[in-house]
Amino acid sequence: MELKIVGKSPERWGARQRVTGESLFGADMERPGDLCLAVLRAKKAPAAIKGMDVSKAQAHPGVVRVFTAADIPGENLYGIIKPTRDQQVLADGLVRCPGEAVALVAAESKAAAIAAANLIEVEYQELPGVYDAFDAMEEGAPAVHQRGNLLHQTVIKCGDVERALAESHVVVNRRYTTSRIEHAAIEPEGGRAEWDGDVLLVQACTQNPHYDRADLAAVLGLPLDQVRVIQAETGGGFGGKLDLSVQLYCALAAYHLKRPASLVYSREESFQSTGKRHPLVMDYTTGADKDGNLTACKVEIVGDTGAYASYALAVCTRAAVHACGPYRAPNAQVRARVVYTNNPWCGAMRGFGVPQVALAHEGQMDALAHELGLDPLEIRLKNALIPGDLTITGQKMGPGAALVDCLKAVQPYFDAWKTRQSPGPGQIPGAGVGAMFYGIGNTAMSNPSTAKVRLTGDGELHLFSGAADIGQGSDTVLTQIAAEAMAWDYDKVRLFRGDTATSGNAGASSASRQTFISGNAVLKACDNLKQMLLAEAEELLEISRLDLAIENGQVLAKALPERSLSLAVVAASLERKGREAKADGEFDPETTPLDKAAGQGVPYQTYAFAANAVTLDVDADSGEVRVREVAAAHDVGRAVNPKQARGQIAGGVAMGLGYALMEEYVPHSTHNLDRYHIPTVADMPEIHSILVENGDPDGPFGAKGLGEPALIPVIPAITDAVGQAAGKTMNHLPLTLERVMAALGK
Amino acid sequence: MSRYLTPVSLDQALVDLAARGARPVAGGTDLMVEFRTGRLAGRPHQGDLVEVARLPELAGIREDGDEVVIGAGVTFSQLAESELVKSRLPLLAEAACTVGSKQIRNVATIGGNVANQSPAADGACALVALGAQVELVKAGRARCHPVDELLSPEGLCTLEPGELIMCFRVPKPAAPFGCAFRKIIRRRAVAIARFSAACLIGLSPDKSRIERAAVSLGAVFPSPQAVRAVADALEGTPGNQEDFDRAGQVARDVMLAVSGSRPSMIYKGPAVQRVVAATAATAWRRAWEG
Repeated sequence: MELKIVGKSPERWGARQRVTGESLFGADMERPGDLCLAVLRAKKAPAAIKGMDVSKAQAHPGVVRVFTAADIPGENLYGIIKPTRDQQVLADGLVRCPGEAVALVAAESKAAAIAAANLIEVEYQELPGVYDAFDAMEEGAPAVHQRGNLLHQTVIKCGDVERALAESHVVVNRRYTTSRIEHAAIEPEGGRAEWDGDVLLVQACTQNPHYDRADLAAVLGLPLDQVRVIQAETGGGFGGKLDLSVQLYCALAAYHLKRPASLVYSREESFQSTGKRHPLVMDYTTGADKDGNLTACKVEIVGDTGAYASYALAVCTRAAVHACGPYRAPNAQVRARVVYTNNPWCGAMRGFGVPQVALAHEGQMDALAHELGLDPLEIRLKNALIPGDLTITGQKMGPGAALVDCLKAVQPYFDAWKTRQSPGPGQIPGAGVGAMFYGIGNTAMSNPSTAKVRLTGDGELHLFSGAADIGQGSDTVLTQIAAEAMAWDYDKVRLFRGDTATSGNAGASSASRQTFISGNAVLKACDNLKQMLLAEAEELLEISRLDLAIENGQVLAKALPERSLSLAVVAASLERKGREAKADGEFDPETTPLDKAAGQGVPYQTYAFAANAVTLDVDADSGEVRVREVAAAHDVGRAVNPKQARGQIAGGVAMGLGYALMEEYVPHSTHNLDRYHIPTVADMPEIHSILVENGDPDGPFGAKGLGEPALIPVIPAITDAVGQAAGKTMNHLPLTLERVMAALGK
Repeated sequence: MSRYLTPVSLDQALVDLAARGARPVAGGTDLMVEFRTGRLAGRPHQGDLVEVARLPELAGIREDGDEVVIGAGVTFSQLAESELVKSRLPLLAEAACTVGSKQIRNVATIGGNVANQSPAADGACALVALGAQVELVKAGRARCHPVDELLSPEGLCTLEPGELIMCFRVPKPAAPFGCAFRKIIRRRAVAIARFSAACLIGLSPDKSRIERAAVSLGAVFPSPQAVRAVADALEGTPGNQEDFDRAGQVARDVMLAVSGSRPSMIYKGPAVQRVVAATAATAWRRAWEG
């Protein structure tokens, strides 16, 4: 099939508005006269709140009202995963980690709100805490929550791992660890709430407007239809805007005071109060035969979710499913546990545990290659999952699985880089490779999306989607899919997005799911609309629909082109009959739950694959690492918008480079972007992005997802290359100056 | 209430600065960070801000006999691009290039860099190695001190309230000389130095031996400091690899003697040793190549 707009790179949706400043982000929602808010946050935790005196704050000039937990009209409880909901809007008697919200001040100015918050007197009684995930699992460890510190465990078993290890020609055993990191989206959390008649309207940056509405309604004790959430333009999310933040406080103040209230977090507040990436400790034992075929993979993962669950369940399960990497592992045993501590809480972050396990499964491949004298790429090619292979959950790989193509695409780069000479005194060159697979959509559960398309009697095509565009480009991609399906001009599709009053639930912009899942929903809506239009045209033209086609805004009569009708006429005809040319589409990927005992099942309908190679230099004097070039091959199925896909890859490389080399969140130390380093443009390598487009039979026009895969393979590739250069394997992230220097030795 | 004052003459600026709590502001790249932190904590800045960046008396780079005179209001971009600085004080030009980002270099000034008294200040580190003097001015008084005295935490010379850095007088190194500045950072821009090393080497006329050397370290001591013992290790030697290695060892030994064996020394010990050796070698090579 020849495609007209899918596979092209039309002007990005909203690009013009970004450039001219018309786009309104969460932080732009504030209006003169809004109530200004400040949140008082706990400095010590865990601690019991023995008393709170807000009288001085309440009396401070400009203060309208001080709120505490007692002022929450509904449930003082929220969290994206229902069974593990555990977060408080405002602390009710107990704070479990520093930074937790204790009270809220609404005032006429920001300065007054901040000053008043500092006047609130809280009497804390410090409690024993636990700060290490292994300690937290010990008997008698202080319980962070009543349910106990072991929040969740996922077990996956296939074959006989112990026997296979015993019979392996070579076995490597290593521990890998990763750091707690911050999303550092360019826009901190911001938004506004106000009553619009009897509907509380919340406009804020978010990755999931429909979830926000549900939990806000529960917190405020309002029926769902009395809360409306409109996604403000969102300056990056990376998982950090999946949980509620400023929305809660704006909504609470507006609810009570009947005045608009707005709040934007400072960078420090954003760092202190929002979720982080889970640090994992990963013990791997991997076996291979003498030819380098994997025989067995035994994995123990322990993750620290800090004081709250957020997305920990999803991270734990996904880490387990992806633990053995994109390889045939005939015998596997994986146990992943996630544990409460009193550390800063962790939630969703781009990749949900897979960036962490990729460090480990790729480290093991390199270790095996080293032991067996094999080339790192060769051992990966030998074990790569190909169509028909089974994963460790027993899922058969579909025809779109294209890891081999990705590995072969980076091979020329890797081969050249392996022999690159040192560029100068003290510079040690290193080359590394990393691969990954990534299940598209939520793990082993229903996660549907919906979309709606409408053709007006004036001949306008409207697309309604609840999918939050957070900069990843779903607006453009979904519009391209609708334009292609309806044979419509891309520029003339009108998109209505992210408003719970007009668009259906598309689920979260997470898990790399919007292109595949919402794209399919858009496609279905378009198919349904086309059927409706063809049925009407059949009546109008008295020509069988089999002889009709939709093209260029027309119903084309194939045999009698002169009788073709414009689609607007067909829609108008429907309108005259009191019907609307409008159709819904829903798509829910085909998955099955994982059984509890052995974790077998079909967690995702499809997987994306990728391989990256990198070349870098390590400074022998200082331990500084300079990444020179990255070759990034991604099995995207089909790139709906190649330019955006390459942009995703570049962004992923930047974020992966930061994770590998420099990022680590330490409260009160790396607490803002001055102290917490993410890569700058000066740190960026040259990127050769390669799109592998074999087409996924289940994807819209063959597309899969790329948001998270873009980040992942560069992490192990950099780690391996640094290890090669330093002459010692690197198992712990980030690869700081200190760690690299230690590896370089005396 | 805090006012933002824009005096057009040095005299007027000194009058404005004499007011209680008044602070001079040049590029503001350190000051704005400080004020923001205070504001977020509910402690907004009090006292006037006196803009000094545009005062003509603080502007410009010029030669004055054996010295280069650099106005305190000169930005790092100006330093990095000045032909005079590049030819006469390449060490300072090299250090200036490593400061912050392009945007920061466009507004941040050498005077502010010294006044802020950060132990990691790149410009200050280079000035110390170059043996620069600083001219200070206050209503009715002017004085001149070595830059390292102004920076010293012992308070050999302190900037008094109402006092302003006017300019730096930097002696021009005698040919044949070479220099090198090396800043070790956790990322390649907008990062505070993990540590930095500035090295200036002057050779004998026949280039057979090192006649004069100066090595200063940033983010190693409480202030950027020239380490005389390292220079001693280099002076008089022919500039062989072992001489540079010895200089590196001396730098490490001095650092450990001053700072003790803190955890950070596990990294800094070998890193300072190797980087000082490598920086000295680079400076020597540049001197040799002329």
